[in-house]
Amino acid sequence: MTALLQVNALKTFYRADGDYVKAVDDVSFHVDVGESLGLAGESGCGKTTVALSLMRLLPPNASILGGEILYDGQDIVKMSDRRLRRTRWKKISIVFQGAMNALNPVKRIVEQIAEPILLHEKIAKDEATRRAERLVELVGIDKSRARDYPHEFSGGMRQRVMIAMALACEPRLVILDEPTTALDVMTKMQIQQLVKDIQKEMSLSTILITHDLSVIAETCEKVAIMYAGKLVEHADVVTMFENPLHPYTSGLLKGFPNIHASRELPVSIPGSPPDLLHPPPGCRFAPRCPLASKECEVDPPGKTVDGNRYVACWKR
Amino acid sequence: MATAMSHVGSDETLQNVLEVRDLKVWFPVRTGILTSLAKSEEKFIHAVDGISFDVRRGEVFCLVGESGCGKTTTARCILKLVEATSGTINFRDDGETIELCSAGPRQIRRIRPKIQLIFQDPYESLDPKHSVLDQLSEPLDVNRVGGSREEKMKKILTALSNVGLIPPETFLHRYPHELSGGQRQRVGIASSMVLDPIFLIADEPVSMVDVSMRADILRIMLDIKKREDASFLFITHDFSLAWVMGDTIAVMYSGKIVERASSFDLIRDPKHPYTRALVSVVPVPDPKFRHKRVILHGEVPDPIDVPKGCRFHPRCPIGKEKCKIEEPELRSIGGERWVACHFWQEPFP
Repeated sequence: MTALLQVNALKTFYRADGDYVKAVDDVSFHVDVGESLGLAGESGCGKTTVALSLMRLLPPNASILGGEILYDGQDIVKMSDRRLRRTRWKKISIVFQGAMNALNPVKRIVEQIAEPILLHEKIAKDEATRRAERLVELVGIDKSRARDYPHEFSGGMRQRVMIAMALACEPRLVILDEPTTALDVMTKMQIQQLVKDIQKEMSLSTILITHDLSVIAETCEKVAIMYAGKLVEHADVVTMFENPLHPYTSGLLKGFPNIHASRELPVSIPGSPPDLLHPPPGCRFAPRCPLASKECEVDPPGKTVDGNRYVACWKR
Repeated sequence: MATAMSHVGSDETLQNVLEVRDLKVWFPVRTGILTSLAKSEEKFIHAVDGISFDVRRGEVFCLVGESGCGKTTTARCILKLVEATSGTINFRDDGETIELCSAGPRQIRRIRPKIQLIFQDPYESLDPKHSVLDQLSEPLDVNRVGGSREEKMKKILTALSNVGLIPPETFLHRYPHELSGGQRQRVGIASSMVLDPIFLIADEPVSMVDVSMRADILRIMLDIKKREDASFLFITHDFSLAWVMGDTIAVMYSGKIVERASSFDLIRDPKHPYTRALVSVVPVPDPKFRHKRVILHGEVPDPIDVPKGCRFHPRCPIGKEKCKIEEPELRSIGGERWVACHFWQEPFP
């Protein structure tokens, strides 16, 4: 398989009080054609900043200070605004966190889905509407509901609309930022299934951003774990769950109760994530790490293990 | 049903702290003048529609269900934050029983310290201008308990160290913005605990806490249960949390309890088709784990216009004609297992 997206040494910092919040610091990963990557970590670890960097939709106080984001060999970081407009939504699209609550309340669903099509492609309005109607069906909403307003839809259905919008211009890569977090368990499973089906059907690549490793276990092929702005581990899902290499990954995995295992309380990782304005020198996980020693005072270089796994830890 | 459950109270160690009987909370729906003139019939949201359960001393009782099923309304009703439409809630403390629904404000004020709430969102529930000391003093001052200044301080320090904020003195003068999410939630729990409650209501207490710190919060609650012999009403939508926390689980759907059992029985051998489906879709943190999933279609019914017969029948994979006509009651199927389904013995897909 070939890499559709290759991120190399990405650095995205936020300016604050004359200093920098090192939100994404030297992060590299790749996504192959048709592959699903789960990007996991706790809140504030930089996973959403990675997503915003990929789309170049960062807020004004943030900037990409280094690295490259190669989509099909083209560097998104260096793209002109004009080129960028042709890449966004047509090549890469995103379902934002909580975006289902950002639908325009006074516009019909089908019109809202047609909007990005009209914006990005030179086609007639009724053609765009027809395509939007097909998308409505694709995401499992009955055709007769296409002309409804957002308030007539439940949360799960609005999230389906967001997915339809992300697919509107037939992108090859869709980023999903916590797409099921606010939904009930049954609706969550319906959406997960929908994304899986569409992905297979359209050989779409996806990046699923979530804090919930069990969702990644169920839906992704690869997984990348971030901690305090750093990528700590990247591997295929089965290998990582069976044999996590980074102590943070092992700690995180112990935090999820499993109803099919014994009735035990999950285990916390002591301490809390560092302040990214002044991260600890060396390994950022060291202050919470059970294996930390003298050498962890120096930032651990990332290395490839067993051919295709990546881990950034001195102990491995 | 009351007779079937009364034997539970006879055993001293298993004494009930809370007995809810046929509790209903209906909210009137506001309609315009024209519609109310045209149709004289008033409409109600059936948030909680006739539920009964007991919570024993030292037990974690979990209420599980999807959003809108009535689990939070039940909790608010126990706290007297909403008025019950009908039914009774008996609260027992030191051999004294108070019926909360009919109790007057003076009685409520007296028992208020005994029933406390742990909030969901530690970012919203702490006053940003209150230091930890202020936060923990307030409940003592409001309820006029705690005695002298020294005694109050002692209570506060104990409460802080009991939730793992150690050494407690170093936290007294900190403000919420100086605390992590996990620490904030601990402060929230500590401020419920200074009053020495015997019954705690925890409504999604870890949903806003980061995964790596969640387990500590859960452990603190189990410690409280053990140390104080306190009872918890633990409200969550997450079966895997109910699995590790709960002694008993009750599953709610559309204002009704559809199944109630020990948490082991309910998760490992669910009987109600709704519970069976929900348990089958709980995410499992193991990519190699494969099992049959039952995905329900459709949505939770409109609480204003609930379906006739069994409320679950429009989504039920094994529903039959009878389910459209007759509403199943929550019946004991042996031991401490209760199911509200006509056909729970039928094979399930």
